[in-house]
Amino acid sequence: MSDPITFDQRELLERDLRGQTRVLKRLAQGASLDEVLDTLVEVAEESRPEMIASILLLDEKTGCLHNGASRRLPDFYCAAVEGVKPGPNVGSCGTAAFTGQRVVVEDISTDPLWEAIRHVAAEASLRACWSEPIIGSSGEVLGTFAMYYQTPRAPTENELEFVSSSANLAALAIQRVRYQNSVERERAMLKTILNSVPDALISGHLDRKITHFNRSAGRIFGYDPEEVIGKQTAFLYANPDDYDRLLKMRFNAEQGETLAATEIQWRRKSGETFPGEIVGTTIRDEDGEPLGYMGLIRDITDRKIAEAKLAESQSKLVQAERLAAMGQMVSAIAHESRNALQRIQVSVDVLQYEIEAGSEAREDLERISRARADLERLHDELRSFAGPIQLNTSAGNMAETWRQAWTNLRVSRADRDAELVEMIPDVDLDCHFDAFRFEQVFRNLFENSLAACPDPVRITVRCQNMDIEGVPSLSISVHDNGPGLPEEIRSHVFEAFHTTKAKGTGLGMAIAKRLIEAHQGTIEIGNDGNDGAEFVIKMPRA
Amino acid sequence: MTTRLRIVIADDEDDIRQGFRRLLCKIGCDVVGEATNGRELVKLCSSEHPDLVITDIRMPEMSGIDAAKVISKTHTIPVIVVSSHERPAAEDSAYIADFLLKPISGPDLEAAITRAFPRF
Repeated sequence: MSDPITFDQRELLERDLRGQTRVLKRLAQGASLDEVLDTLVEVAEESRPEMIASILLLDEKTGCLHNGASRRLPDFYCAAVEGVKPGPNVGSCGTAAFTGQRVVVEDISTDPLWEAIRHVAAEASLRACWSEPIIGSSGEVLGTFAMYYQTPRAPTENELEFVSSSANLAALAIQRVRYQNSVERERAMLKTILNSVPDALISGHLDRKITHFNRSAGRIFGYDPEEVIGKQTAFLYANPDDYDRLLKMRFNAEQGETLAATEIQWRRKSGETFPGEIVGTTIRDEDGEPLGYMGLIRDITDRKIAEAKLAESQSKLVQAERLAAMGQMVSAIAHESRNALQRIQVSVDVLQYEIEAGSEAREDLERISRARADLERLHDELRSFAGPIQLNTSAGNMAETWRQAWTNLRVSRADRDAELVEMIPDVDLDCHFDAFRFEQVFRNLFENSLAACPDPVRITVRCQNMDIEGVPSLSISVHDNGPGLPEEIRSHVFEAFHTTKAKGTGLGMAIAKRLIEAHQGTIEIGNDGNDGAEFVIKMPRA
Repeated sequence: MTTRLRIVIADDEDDIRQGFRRLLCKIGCDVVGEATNGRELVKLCSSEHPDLVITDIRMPEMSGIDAAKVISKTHTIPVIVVSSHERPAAEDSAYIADFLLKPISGPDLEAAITRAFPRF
């Protein structure tokens, strides 16, 4: 600039400068892009009242121009310009956006660039227009800043400088706001991702004070983030040793980067503990300096339950297979033995006709006969314990079954003072069951009581209606007046070959349990104290 | 009892046949034939026309049940089955008068005979 600056020019420069400062202030205050661009138009028009300013923004996706800001352009004009596609002769702005160069049109009414929308400009009384493309930092066109006049005229040097600096300011504002928007979008996306992680994601400083606690962490541990941010993670561990152990293992920037999946017992806010698997890593800045740690904790309660169930069913399967194999063997032995027992039996029966009653030889024969009976009983028990069970169920009365069992024991209690007492007021004793098998259950229970109790023996059967998980059931308690079950026996009472009796196979209770379970029922030791042993059977009625 | 029951017995074990023969004799029956398998049993029934058959199930060549089926076509002789196996299937029960699981005692056998042959 060779000419000296006049007073008016100086005043204009100062106004421009003040205006631009206002724009920058709005930007710094975090105003929206619309607000900032509106301020830019406002201050431009305030310092140059004869001028009408307009900002158009180029849509990256569509490549069309849209109104960014204008205060004094008539609506119909804005509507006509809205969505226009830049091209080599699309008015001042469309051409500037297309070429990336400033376009100066001194008389709209004659300039060929305005051919297409000359009449709209005429209607809006617009006669001159210079438009400066708004260029981003990497050279891309972001939009245009235009100055319109209502008389044909050429731009002054000052006006050209102004349009250029205004476009630069607009570029700054657009880029700044777009960057801010993209950062915010990214933050929102990250937040969404973090909150969508189904596992507890917890990050902490090097001192293990919590810096982030995602939504799943809140759900799993039961804390709100504000309750835990800034606290050391120790309170999340069910066992303080684990907190220290993890520090030694991995939560220690010196030790390495990652913590391989480790199973830990954790504690919820409610105090409840749960198994969780943690994977962790050290968080580092760009220079590799450790900033803190991050851990991802998965609640594996359900998995543990599933694993336990699987292990249980596998062990049951193995047990069932063993029993099946044993069952086959026992059945085979029992069958072969029956023929041998038959040979003994028939010989004994024949000899009974030939050997005089009351003789010593006859007593020997009785002993052989008893041994045969014992062997047969043993085989029957082994078969009940290990052989296949096929229930032959029908509707029946439970009391009749235990009375039958008691009656069948009359020989073994012939010289005993033994009494069976029933306490079954108002109880429905009808059940669907295999009466033969249940008689076996009662026989085994009664035999045990007869063996354990000194005279007078008093065995009490009590029944109760009950409802087990919605299933109408019958509870039957068999209680004797003996010494009760010895402590060391209690946990083994249903196991095979555990016996306290001098005689017997030790299969009685194991068989009882197996037969009852085959009926979907249960048998347990009841209130067993000094006043005798009690067993409680619970049977679904149907 | 006016006349002694004439019985044919079948079992592939010699000792059991021998034992049953002597026992039946003691309780007042005549064993008029002994078979070691089903085929022999069918033959004996045709030749001896016994009052009653006492047979095992599992025997070589022909089972006691299959023999009972054949016998039932031409004779009406009650068949008591004495076996070390479980009760035969329901459809086979039609051909047998009684089923006893081994080992059975003398009184068991006597009771079964009385059931099958009430005039005994």
